[in-house]
Amino acid sequence: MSDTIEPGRGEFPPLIVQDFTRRFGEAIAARDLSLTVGPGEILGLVGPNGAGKTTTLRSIAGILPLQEGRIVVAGRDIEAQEAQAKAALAWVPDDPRPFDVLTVWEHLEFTAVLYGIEDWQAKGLVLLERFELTRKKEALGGELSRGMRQKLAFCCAWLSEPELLLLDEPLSGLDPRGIRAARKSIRELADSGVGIVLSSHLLELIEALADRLLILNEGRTVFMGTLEEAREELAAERNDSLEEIFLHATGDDVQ
Amino acid sequence: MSARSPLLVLLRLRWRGRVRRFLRMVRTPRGLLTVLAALAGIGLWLAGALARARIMSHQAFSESDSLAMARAALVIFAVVIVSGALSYRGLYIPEEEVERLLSAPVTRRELIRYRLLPSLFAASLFALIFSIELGARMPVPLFGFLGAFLAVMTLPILGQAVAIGVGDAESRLGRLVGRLPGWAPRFGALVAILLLLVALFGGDGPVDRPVLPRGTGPMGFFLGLAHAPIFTWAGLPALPWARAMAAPGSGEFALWFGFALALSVLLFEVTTRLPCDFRELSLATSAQVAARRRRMGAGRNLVAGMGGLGGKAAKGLRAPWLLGSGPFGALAWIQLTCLWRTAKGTLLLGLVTVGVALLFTLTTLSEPVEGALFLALWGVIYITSGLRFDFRGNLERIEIMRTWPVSSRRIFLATILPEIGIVTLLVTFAELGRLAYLGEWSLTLGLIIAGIPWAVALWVIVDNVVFLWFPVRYQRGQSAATQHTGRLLLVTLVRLAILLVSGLIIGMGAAGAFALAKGFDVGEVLALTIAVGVAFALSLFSLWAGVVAGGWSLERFDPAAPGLRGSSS
Repeated sequence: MSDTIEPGRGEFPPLIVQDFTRRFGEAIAARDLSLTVGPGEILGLVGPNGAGKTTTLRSIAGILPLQEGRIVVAGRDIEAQEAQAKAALAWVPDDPRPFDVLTVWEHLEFTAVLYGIEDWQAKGLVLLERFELTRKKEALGGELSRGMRQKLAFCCAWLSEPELLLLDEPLSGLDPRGIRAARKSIRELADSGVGIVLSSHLLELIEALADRLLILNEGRTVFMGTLEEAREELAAERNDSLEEIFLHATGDDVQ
Repeated sequence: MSARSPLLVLLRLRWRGRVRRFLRMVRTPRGLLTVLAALAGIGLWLAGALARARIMSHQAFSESDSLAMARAALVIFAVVIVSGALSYRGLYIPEEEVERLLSAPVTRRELIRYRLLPSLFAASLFALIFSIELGARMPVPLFGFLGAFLAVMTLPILGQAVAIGVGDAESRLGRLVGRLPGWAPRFGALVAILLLLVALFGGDGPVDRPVLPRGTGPMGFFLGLAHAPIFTWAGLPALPWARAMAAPGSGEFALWFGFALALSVLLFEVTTRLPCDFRELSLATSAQVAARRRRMGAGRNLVAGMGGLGGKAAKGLRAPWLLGSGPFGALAWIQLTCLWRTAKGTLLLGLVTVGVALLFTLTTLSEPVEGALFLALWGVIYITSGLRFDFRGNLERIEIMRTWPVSSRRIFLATILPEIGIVTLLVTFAELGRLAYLGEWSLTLGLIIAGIPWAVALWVIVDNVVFLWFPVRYQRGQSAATQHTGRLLLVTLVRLAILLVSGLIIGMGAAGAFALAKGFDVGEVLALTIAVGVAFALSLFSLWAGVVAGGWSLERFDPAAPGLRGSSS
């Protein structure tokens, strides 16, 4: 992790992935993947189970070491400037696990220190209010339900003021109100210039939020482009839904 | 980590959280009681160590013995720590933290420090006790204590360095170990044990010398071992710490302690700066440990948890229907199958432990009865604490079990019977092996062996009855350790008390029957037979009462009790 001059916010695209390949032993989870996410853009990442979506996201987040290719987060190389790159991204896994003995508020406190956020308290309160966690402010992480854990992960991610947000199945476990709040917040965050990679099996969510679409199958890029382009390239009919496009693209529409 | 390090803030917040949770717990009478019991236990342990240290300070080792003992103790601890570290390759980060911390903008150096600091804190209590115990036998107890404390506090750092270094080397060498055939590690372990035995006991001594080195006095055996060449050579890297412990004067102590302290600090700094990318290993280790903890939570102990479950060999093993093919037999068969298929590691460890206890009684407890009692008690307590194929292992299934068309008493008995049988077999074989080796036999020894099935059964019954009333399981790494320690202590005390009182009643009944029979002027043999019969009947009655209590407890067990549903503990 070298000391380099910090790029300014918005100066570079939030995410550039070049020729990314990831192996687990003999198996290839992702191969020759290249993509770019621009400021304020939401990239929808879809694919069947085992397509390599989570592996790709975890590699971008720097959780998995990079084997081949290059990942640059907001102008910082994830290998060469690991800590700086990580400071510019927020990662919300599919099953967030808060610290058992920390209260909801202390999670925000820790996140603020971790990402160097000054005067975070007011923003923290707003986030708790938005994600309906105000009454759970003093609840311990171990006492939260699945949906509340998800909401807390959102609060921490939003508080860290990222340039790139990685979301893996962000709506699982949320109640209808939580889903609405989350969708609205994701959109607002993108509108504020944050690049977002959104991985989900909820194709309706992708259809509603994503500006562009990346379909993966067995680690390979099957399609990348806008929904309109997907319809033109992959759909049998002009008004096909994303579900039909997805099934067609991944070869599951035989039946 | 600098004062502003986010991981230091996290450590502070976590400690605050633990204190808060602890305070919440002690607000309930039950929580307070168990915490008090735990604190009393720890206090007694410390007081005992101090008292022993005071007594032992009058029996200090000679200078050469001190050095040998210090070196050998450090080698043994280092081996234990390093071998343990090998199963935590990379930097172990708990599953709930690993994704968050690996994606956080912190350096790997900070991460290692973050994990090392709590490890060192956790090691400090053990270091304290160990240092008091060992330090007291050193020429200058204070120097012995300080040297031992520093050494023990250095071992977790060594373990972490090994875990990261070996993991990285393994990755770099193309996962050589993973490519070895399945039998190779076992063969290697066997060769290592043989080499160790040759190093310890081989040599040019007379052919008819005792199998084990025996010295004079109670510590003779250990001193004999400590002077074995293997410890002299393997202990070379530990020499600065051992020298500090065994220093006879302040000048020598200052020199060696300063040197050892510098080495410890250097090791800490080097460990945090190891140029290894441990992320992948940490993820794998974290997942493995989480799976192990879940399996332990499902009623198996650490060793069983480490073994692969559901492997081809395990699936192929079919337990016999020992107790008939009716509903009762089916229940027992299920338990025996689970035990047989998933607890091979535990059983092996139990066997080794009983073997070590057997060795200990043969070499240090010369009184046949004393040795037999020690072996029986140790075997019963240790193995039953490791095997959890009782209601602990069936906590999630108790709700279903209660719908089975079998009486609660029969369910209770059938569930615990296989475990009782296995433990009884292990301990009885050890006792018989001991008798065969010593070539001694007496009525008292026979009674001890005959009493093993009863003791094991009563021990397990009481444990399960208490568990059905207070169904809480504890996994290592879980919070509320103090409370769980207290609960464990209380249950052990209750079991010991019940075992003692029942044994006393049975003994008194048998003695009364013997005296009564003698009063009727029957022969000695007949009187003895009557007494044994009465003891047998009373034993059966106590077990029957236990099973009745167990069945009743099972009937009143509430699967929807607060804190039970959705709890991993």
